[in-house]
Amino acid sequence: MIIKNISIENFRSYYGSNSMDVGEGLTLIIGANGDGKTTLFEALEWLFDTVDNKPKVDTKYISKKKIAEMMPNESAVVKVSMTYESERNEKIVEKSFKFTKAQDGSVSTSNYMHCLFVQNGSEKEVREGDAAKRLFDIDFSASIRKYCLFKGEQELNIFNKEEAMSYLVETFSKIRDFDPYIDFTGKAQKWSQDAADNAMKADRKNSKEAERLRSLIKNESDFIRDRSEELKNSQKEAVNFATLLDELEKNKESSELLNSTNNRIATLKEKIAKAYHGISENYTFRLLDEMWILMGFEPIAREYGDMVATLDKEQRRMEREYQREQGAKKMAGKMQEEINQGFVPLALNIPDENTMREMLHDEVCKVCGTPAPKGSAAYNTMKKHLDDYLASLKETHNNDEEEEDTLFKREFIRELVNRYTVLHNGMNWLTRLPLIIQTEIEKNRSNHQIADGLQAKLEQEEEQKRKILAQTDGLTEEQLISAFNNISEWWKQKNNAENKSDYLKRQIDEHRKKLEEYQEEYSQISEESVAATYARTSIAMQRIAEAFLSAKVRNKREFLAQLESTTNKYLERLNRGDFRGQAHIVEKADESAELMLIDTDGTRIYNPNTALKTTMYMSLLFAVAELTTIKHEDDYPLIFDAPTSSFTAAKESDFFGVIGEINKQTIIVTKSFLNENADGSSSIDTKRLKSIKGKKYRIEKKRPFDEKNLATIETRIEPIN
Amino acid sequence: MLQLVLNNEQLMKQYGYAAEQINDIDLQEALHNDNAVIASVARIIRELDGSMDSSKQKEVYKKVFTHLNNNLFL
Repeated sequence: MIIKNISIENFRSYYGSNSMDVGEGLTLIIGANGDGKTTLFEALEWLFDTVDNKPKVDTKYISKKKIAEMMPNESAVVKVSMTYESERNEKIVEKSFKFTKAQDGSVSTSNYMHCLFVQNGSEKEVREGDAAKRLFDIDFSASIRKYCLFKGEQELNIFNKEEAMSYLVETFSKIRDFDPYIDFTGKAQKWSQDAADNAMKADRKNSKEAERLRSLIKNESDFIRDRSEELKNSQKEAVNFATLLDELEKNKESSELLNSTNNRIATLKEKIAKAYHGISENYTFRLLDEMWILMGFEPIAREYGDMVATLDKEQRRMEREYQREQGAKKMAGKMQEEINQGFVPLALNIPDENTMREMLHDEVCKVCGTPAPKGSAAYNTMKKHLDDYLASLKETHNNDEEEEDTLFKREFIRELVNRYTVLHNGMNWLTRLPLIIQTEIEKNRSNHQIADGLQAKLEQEEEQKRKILAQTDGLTEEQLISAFNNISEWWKQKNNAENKSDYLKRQIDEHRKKLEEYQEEYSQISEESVAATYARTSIAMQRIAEAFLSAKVRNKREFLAQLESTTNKYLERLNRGDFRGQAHIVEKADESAELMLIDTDGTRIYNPNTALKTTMYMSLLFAVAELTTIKHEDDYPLIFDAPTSSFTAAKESDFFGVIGEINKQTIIVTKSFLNENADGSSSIDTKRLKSIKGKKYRIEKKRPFDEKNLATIETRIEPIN
Repeated sequence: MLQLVLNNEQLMKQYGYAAEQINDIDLQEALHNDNAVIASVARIIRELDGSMDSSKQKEVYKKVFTHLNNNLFL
């Protein structure tokens, strides 16, 4: 099938009628973002019915600009059609519906049509509805259409789709064609076995021996069947573990990186905690708790020491002075005492104590000889003299006692000196205190710096971890770590399953030989008899049934090998000089398959860059298309929406150059070959585009338009000459 | 399909034919081949013609069974 023309009318931004002729090789449709590339793709999806649950009719399909310009009760049509050539007949497949604008501005739809027009000579036949669908399916089957439209780079990996591989193989390798024959030969094998058994039973002469052999054959057959089932499970298990290990291998680097990153993160966290633990910044408390407040006290303490020393010196001086004075006083006191003892007890005009007592007793002044009765002035005077004298004696006595006292009775200076001595003993610490504090602050600052540095490293490691996890096909951290930890267990289990498979295979082979011997023996029980002939026929039927089964398996393998080889042919062309490795298709136990890249040294490339991955998948698609064309003896187009987003400009030019040379109808919608202008518009890079073979179109919004008002949007399709 | 089925080691070994004999053989030739197994496989493919119908299967079985009975080891 070759597409000749695509027409779009009033479909979303494609206002009015738009049409483009499509070349037999490459057709390049170039448009900037928002210019209608994806809308064109969606119009084809709608026409081809390739998206499940997409409504047949939807007001969303209608051009807003068309609705805006319509008068109430006016009707128009949404239509997407494709002219194509199939078996040398030109046909048009078309989908359309009518829409009408009501008085209130609402829009209703009607008259959905799915038609197929066939040019038959000069007449044009029309098929509608299911008939049109059926005819279109014959020309361009629904199964092939699944491998025809690709949106973006992500959709290119057709093996990612569920059951895509078995679907692909079944569709294109004709593997299902084997099923009726496998069903038949299975039944034929049983029928022939029954016939042989019945014939043998009828042969009475040999019935006992036949019975014995039948029993042995049955036992061997049962054994082989059971072991084959076990082998199948064992092989499946081995493949499953191999897949797990393969996944691990794919993410081995990531697992190892993650593991070492996690270790570094743990070490860093430990170090950060240690650094923070070493920081003690409760300076306010330490001012008093650790007496940091005394940091500036040293000069004060020294001044205090000096002052105490001065005071001490002064005290000692005063003490000495005092002692001297006391000594003098003592001498004077001694002299007084001596006076008191007889020399000058009283003033010269005053008699001694005894005389005065006698005079008071006699009430006569014996100095002047006048009477001095009690109470008289003379008596009182004498009494006063005596009292003064006695008082004087008492004072002298008291002074004698004071002679023993020091000048500074409280010893305050001594106390100050003692305190200074204590202080002096701590002066060493006081002297070192600024250094201690400085060291502490430095230590804290250093720990802060260490912690900050470690924190920065930790952030880098966390970032690294995020990057690792982002590149691991959606595997969680736990899965990666678990994969890392489980590797030895998985290897063990895989080896066990493989060893078991080998053992079972050997057992099956041994028993198969026995079975064949018994069967041979059985067929020879009665040579030339009917029973023997039937037995030989039954064995032949069994071998034929096995041959059909193994042919089916081989057919699939051959198809995949062919697919792989054709894929590599395209891969080499699409990566001219860039990549010299090979694509490899691996069939898995669950009948799925995986497409992988193998480097020139035979190692698998687990994470190819997006451009290489895209060329790999596109190579596979071209290979599928080529093989399909061979198998179905008909061609079909490949339509891609933005398949080269990850390509560099140079790679893109090379890529389109190669596609242009491949003899394959390919329609590519892309934003490549556009240069952005200063006013926000874009223009075609004609120089780059010139070297690309094929038809080229530009799709573009007609100016002016308001981006926010869909009623102003109109996509135009213009050929690029 | 004919080549894929006939190109079976066990079948070749047991029923005495070589790969060269069947590599380019077409269905018509195979139907008239002296080797009973080659002819029977061709018969199964042609007569059954992809049918899953049980009466058709029995009909084909009878033909193939008879052919093998009459020609195997002859």
